[in-house]
Amino acid sequence: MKCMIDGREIEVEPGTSIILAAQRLGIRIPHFCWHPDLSVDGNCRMCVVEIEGSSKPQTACSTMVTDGMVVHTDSPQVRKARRATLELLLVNHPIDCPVCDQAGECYLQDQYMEHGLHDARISLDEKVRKRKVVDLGPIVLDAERCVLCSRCIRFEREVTGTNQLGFVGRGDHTEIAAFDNRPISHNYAGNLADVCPVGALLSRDFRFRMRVWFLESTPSVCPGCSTGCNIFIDHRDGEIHRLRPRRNVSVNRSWMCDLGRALYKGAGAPSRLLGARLRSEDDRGMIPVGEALDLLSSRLRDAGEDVAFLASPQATNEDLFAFQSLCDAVSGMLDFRVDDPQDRMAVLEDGVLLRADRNPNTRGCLELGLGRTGVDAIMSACRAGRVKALLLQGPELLRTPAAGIFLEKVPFVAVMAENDEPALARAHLVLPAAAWTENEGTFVNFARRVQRIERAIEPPGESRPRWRLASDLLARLSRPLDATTAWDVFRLASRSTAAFSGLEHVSIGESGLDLDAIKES
Amino acid sequence: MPFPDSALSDSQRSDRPPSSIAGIMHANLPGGVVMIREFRGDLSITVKRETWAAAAVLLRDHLDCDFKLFLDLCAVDRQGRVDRSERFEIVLHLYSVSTKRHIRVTTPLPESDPRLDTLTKVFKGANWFEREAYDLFGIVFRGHPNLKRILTHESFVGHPMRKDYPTARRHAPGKCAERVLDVPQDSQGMVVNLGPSHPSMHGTFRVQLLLDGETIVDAAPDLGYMHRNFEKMAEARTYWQIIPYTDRLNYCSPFMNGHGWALAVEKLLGIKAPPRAEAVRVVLSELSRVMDHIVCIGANVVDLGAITPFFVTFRAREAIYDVLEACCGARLTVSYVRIGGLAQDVPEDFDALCRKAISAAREVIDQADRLLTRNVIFVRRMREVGVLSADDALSYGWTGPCLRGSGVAYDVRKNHPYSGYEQYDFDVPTGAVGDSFDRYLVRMEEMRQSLRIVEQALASLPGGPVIVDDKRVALPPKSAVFENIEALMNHFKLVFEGILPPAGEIYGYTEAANGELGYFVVSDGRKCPWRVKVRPPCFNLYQAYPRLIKGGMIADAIAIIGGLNVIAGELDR
Amino acid sequence: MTMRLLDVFRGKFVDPTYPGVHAGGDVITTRLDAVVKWGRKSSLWPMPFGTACCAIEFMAMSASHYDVARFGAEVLRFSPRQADLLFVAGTIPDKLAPVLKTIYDQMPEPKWVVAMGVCACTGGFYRSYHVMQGIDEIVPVDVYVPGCPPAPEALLAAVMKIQERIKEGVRQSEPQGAHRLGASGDAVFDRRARRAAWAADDDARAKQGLAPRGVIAFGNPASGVQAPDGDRD
Repeated sequence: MKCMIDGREIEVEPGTSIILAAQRLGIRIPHFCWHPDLSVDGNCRMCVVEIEGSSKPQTACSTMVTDGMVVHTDSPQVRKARRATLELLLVNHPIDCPVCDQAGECYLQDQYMEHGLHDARISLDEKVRKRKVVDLGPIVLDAERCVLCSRCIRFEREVTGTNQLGFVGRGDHTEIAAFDNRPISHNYAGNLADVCPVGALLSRDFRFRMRVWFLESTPSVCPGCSTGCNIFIDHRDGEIHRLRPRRNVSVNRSWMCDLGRALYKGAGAPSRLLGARLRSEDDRGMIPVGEALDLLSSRLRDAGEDVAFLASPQATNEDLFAFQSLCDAVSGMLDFRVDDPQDRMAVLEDGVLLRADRNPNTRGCLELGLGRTGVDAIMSACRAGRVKALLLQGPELLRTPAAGIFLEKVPFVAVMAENDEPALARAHLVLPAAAWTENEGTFVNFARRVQRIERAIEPPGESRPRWRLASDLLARLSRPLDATTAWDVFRLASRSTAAFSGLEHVSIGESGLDLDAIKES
Repeated sequence: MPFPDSALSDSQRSDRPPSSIAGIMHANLPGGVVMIREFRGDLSITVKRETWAAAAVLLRDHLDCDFKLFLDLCAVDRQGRVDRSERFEIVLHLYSVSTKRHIRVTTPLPESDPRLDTLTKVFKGANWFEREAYDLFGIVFRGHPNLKRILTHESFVGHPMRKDYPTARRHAPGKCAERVLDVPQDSQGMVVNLGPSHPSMHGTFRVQLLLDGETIVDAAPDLGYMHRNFEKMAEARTYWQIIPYTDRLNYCSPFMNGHGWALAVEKLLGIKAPPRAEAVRVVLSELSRVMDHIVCIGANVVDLGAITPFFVTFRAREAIYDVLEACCGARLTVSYVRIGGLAQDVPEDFDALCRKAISAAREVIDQADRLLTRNVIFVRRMREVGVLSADDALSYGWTGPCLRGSGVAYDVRKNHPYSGYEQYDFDVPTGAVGDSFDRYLVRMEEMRQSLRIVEQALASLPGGPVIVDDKRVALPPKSAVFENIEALMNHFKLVFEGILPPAGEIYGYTEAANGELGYFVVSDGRKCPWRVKVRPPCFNLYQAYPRLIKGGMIADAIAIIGGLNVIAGELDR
Repeated sequence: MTMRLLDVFRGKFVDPTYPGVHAGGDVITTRLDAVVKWGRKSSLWPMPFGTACCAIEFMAMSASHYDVARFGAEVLRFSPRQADLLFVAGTIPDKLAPVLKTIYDQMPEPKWVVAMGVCACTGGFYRSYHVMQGIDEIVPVDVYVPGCPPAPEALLAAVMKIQERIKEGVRQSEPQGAHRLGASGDAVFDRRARRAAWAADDDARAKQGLAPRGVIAFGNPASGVQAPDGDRD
């Protein structure tokens, strides 16, 4: 189908709406109720465009392109219609901007500046009053601000299937309501706040926390489970204030789960390790990381081949590759499968996004071949006293109840960790690692999609990314890695890993890369 | 709604259409011209780096070009907006007094090799500007006689105006630089520091002198003692938020800096402030000019040992402060302009207050005149001291009363009237000799002319709004903001997002008290400007200082520096 | 009423509330340090280290309208060796810092420092690569005068505050800027470092039984504003 939009021609498949065709040309048509990942409703009338041959303006979201159609998205008639629509949407809108979190990402504000700029013709006392600050659990509802676009209703119906929101009332008094004001009870409540174009549905967790125009957004991937939802990390001055989804049609569309959203708290927790810690008879004080690495490298050297390495599927591919190189340098035992995460990697727990494997990079461990020796073999070697030094990339093993028994006879256990926890007491040496928000690298999700994470904030104190810890150890063992950045490590990994061969971090792109697709091509 | 391209106002047009300059460039520099563009009346020519010096010479010497006045040279870091082969752009601004044209010449430089030929042999004023570009950006100018840091301290590491330099990364300063001047090995002279803590160095300049008795054999100034990073701060502020920073440039006449900034941004947006706002701006700018000249003359004579004129003339400053305080609440750092007009209307007694200020000013000017102009001591200290010829002044880039003291009748208000200056009747005094005494006389007469302008503007003050009627630029009235959602949203967006001008670059210029105050603004369409370069008039003035004082005595050096009116806030930004 | 020189010694113009002064007839009995303090506070010789806009307001204060001569402080000495009150008026960039320190060191004891304007107090709105975030990074400050610029009246209030300090006999001897805790350098835009530093500082002060810095006990006239922790003469 060929059509002309604003004098530019484009060819689209049949069944494409005008709004999507315009998007492909880079033309933004203002809208409220349309959402690329929800069904089309056409109730807001904001996306109306002028189509030659039609007497009235038509909604671009619900009108499909026909061959030879000529569309004008910015004619005087369209501008007049938009202005009128905005004015009507604002008729009952409360003057809440100073107390509304949505300011800065509000469709009404943005579209007023671009398409409105009209004077008000209604006074405050004429506005209809509705319920405000209704507690719906993780969501706060303010019915006065609602523009009745029904995005939330369609989300409840189509994405989570829970149908917990609906319209009540008629005409001017229509409102959004939950039955009996019951709280939203599924794990995707945060998306309701994202999907609402105004401040009617807001996240209780983020409420009054930070004005969004101060926030810087860094694209990344959620490490909560093996789905790997694409996200934005919103941060300011080294503090992370929220995570929100980043659209990826192949992975998570525009959604993410609430468990993932809550992960922003970890990086700034007071329990972050800021330096290395060595367990000694008298105190458990901090030592400089350089000293800790010297100590660890000497123990690794002395232990000869009686060393074991346990990688963590929480780590990035770069962390894993450097860890593997470290293991190869001392010819030690290597594995990662504490509690068998690979068996749960693809299990979809609720039919929407959540997966049973709570690790982001189990698949990456498998691709890089870290499941070598077998965890049971390593554990029996430990119990038999044949392991003189054990390096853990994460505290998973230490948390298992039987850890004490396994590690009794291991003279030196070192662990890379981000947060302090009681389980770390089982290790002799704790190295401070950077969190996922402080590291750049790649994860591979359950469906063999490699995705990039970017660094949002700097690691606090002396903590550093795990690949750098491993690389510093390799340097001390005289087997330095030819890498100064994480992307250099990725390049090294791509040379020796079949799945990543020929890839550079730039080729992965913002939406990731499907490794299966490359293999086929 | 994007801002439309403005119609060129007649005052911005010149007699010579740009195409002839383009023709001359193409004819004489075959293959050297990369691009010629015009935006909002500014002509901008991009040349290849190999032809940089040749282009400058051509523009200076060709009879139809005659761009003899060196205004400004700066660098722009375009990292992230273009590819690495053209990361830096060096921008040169010139002016032709005879043809009344401004011109901008630019050349791109790659990140890996940011070197360019120096223009110090073409324009005397280029010296310090190139040092500044080296200091702040790391551009190396081949053939520069003294390519060292100029604004940041000696222990500074890195080039702070580059985009990848964090705004707040400081470096611990070492001791104050001991030796600034190059003293030949066999010299018998004594090296003396004048400043930076010195009564007549006004706090923050420093000049190192090589003396033979009382006579100055050689001199080298040292700057940067007030380098407050206005330009780096401006890159992270919206266009409104920069207004308070402009107040602190030339802090003796703060309103004029804001006036210049508002006009520059209005030029970029293609809008004009309403007539009432322009008239008030003229009144306050001229009163600020009087204030500035009072400080200059007052401080100058204090340095010479006469305290009375200082005390006498400062009373007029208090009267002018009363006007400003009544308008906006602040005496000195007024922040009264807004893009598109003024923050609020003037009070009801504005006319009365201004007339009080005018009469106070007239009275003190006359008193100072009687005390000084025929005072034997003053005349002997200022006559024939610090002479600079017109040609040298143009080459250094002198503007304002100092340039006019040297005989060149260039005043932006006459050549390129803005804010309605064409309606007012006033003369522009020029000197004959170009010495300190001429500069003093020019300033005294300028104050009288400024008061003439103020009276005319007050007499014809139009009614109407004081801010442009454009919701993308002007805040809605507070009463509306508290009453309806449209005005509230408008207010919110303007405050946290600010004005969004079109992408492009302009050079906005006004006649500030010291000379042509220019703002070179590069916009990328977002809420903060990509680059702001202030063209500080006293940077060019101070550059000629060693030339003026060599061969004279220390006492003359003191007399000269006062007459130049170098303000540290503007000099070092 | 005309004042004659001997009237001073006759106790006619002596402040009866001044500690240690007993006026009566032709003789005043007092303590030596009270007289010395009275002399000091009434004849401060300022050293104006004026750098920027605040210097203009300083000049306005010295001029006839606001007239700092009423306080005896009109003798502006541009040589630090002849001054006892250092007025730092304006922003102090890093390049000027060693100069300021040298000037301060060259002043003879006893000396006081007034940080005039927010730039001298905390760096003002110049959070950037070349500006000191407050002169108390390198010199001790006795009176901070906020304002941008402070009006001359505020500056006169500062002079009066210095006079109070002289009367109390309190002087700062150590630069107080250390507690600014990460408000400089790369950490300036990283709130985690500063929050952690503030928390650590609060803990340290709590261990010594001190309230957190900057606490003002409103509504309690007995405690009032905390006196600066400085040296007493």
